[in-house]
Amino acid sequence: MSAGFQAVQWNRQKVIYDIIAILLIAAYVYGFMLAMRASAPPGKVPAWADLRISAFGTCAFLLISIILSIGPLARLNSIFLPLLYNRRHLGIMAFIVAAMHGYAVLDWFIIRGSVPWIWHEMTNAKDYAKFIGFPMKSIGIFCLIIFFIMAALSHDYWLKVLRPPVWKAIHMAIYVAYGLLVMHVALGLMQRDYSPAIPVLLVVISGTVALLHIIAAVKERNREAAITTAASDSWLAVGQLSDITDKKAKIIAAPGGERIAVFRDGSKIGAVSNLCAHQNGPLGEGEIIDGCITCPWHGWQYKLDDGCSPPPFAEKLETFPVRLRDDGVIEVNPTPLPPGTPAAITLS
Amino acid sequence: MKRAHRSSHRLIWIVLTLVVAIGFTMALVKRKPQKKKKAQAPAIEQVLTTQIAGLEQVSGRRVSL
Repeated sequence: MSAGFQAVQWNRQKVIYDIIAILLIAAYVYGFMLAMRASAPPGKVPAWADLRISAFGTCAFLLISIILSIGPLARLNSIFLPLLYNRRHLGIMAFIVAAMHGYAVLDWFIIRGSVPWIWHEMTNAKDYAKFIGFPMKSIGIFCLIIFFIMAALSHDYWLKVLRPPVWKAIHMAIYVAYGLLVMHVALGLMQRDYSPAIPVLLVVISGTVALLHIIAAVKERNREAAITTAASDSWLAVGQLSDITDKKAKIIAAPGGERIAVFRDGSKIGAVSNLCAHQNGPLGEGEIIDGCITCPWHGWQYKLDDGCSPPPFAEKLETFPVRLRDDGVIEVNPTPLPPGTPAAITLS
Repeated sequence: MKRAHRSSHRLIWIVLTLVVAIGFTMALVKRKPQKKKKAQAPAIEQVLTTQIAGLEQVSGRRVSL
């Protein structure tokens, strides 16, 4: 949380996550190069310079596919939430691996003294009108620029400056970059190498990523249909106390569809915005830990009483008035109170 | 996530999947056909052809098997 600026807020989990990720990346890159050399027929052993391009390229593609799969997997099953916790570091690693792929390509041309060819290839206007023969290196460079922008803006400093909705909208550019990455391979490597493994792997990997997102979206749409939405700004019935699992929340929606998380902590009931102040994570899918509402994405916490983060943190959530009807039904007023306003009630 | 973000997220993935699927299919269909390697003569035939050519050169006569 934002208690002063730090370049990287390390903790034990992040260190372990990063060490495992770096080791796996190094093992993949070296393992790929050694396996390719060992499996090549005699007399056709590929040069290290060629292998570096393939090793870093396939590694970057796999990493970005994994990163893009973590979000929908975490929405489909909470067992994947620990992977989501430090996904940004994985994203930065993917950018570095993609940049290494770019450097390996540049180095290949430097070794052959044909660097001007890259410039010629990318500035030949006629090729941009073609489909087969489109300068696929331009697509790769464009993807790399998108990854760089996202890596540069990934820090919480930029998240705070840009605000979560804008920051998230910028980071959605990764979806477009991923589509372009598939075309970078389809119009590049797939046009030169006729191995059936290339189109098969491309379809299986990118198809799995797309399918996971679509399945998660369908599940989310069904969940949305089941949420009670207030028809007007009047009080909205949430249910009896027993309808809300202890330490968990029931989600309702204000007119317009923005969600409200109604949490129960024993006999205390409080309603807060479903949007975590950090990355707009789904607070209502989290739980109450140590008396605080805890976001399932990155563990940011807020007091149930007033939606304020515990000291020394200063984040505040919008809260909503709660009341108990004579028949025991809990009601919430969907008009938000200013962030940090105490609104929770204790039922006797 | 805000409602607008959720909605755009759903739309983007459906559109992206369709566009990339079309692009990939076109890239696969329009791929230039693979050049077939020239069929090489069996080694024994190559040896015989070379030897016959050598004999013809030395003898000055046409040699047939």
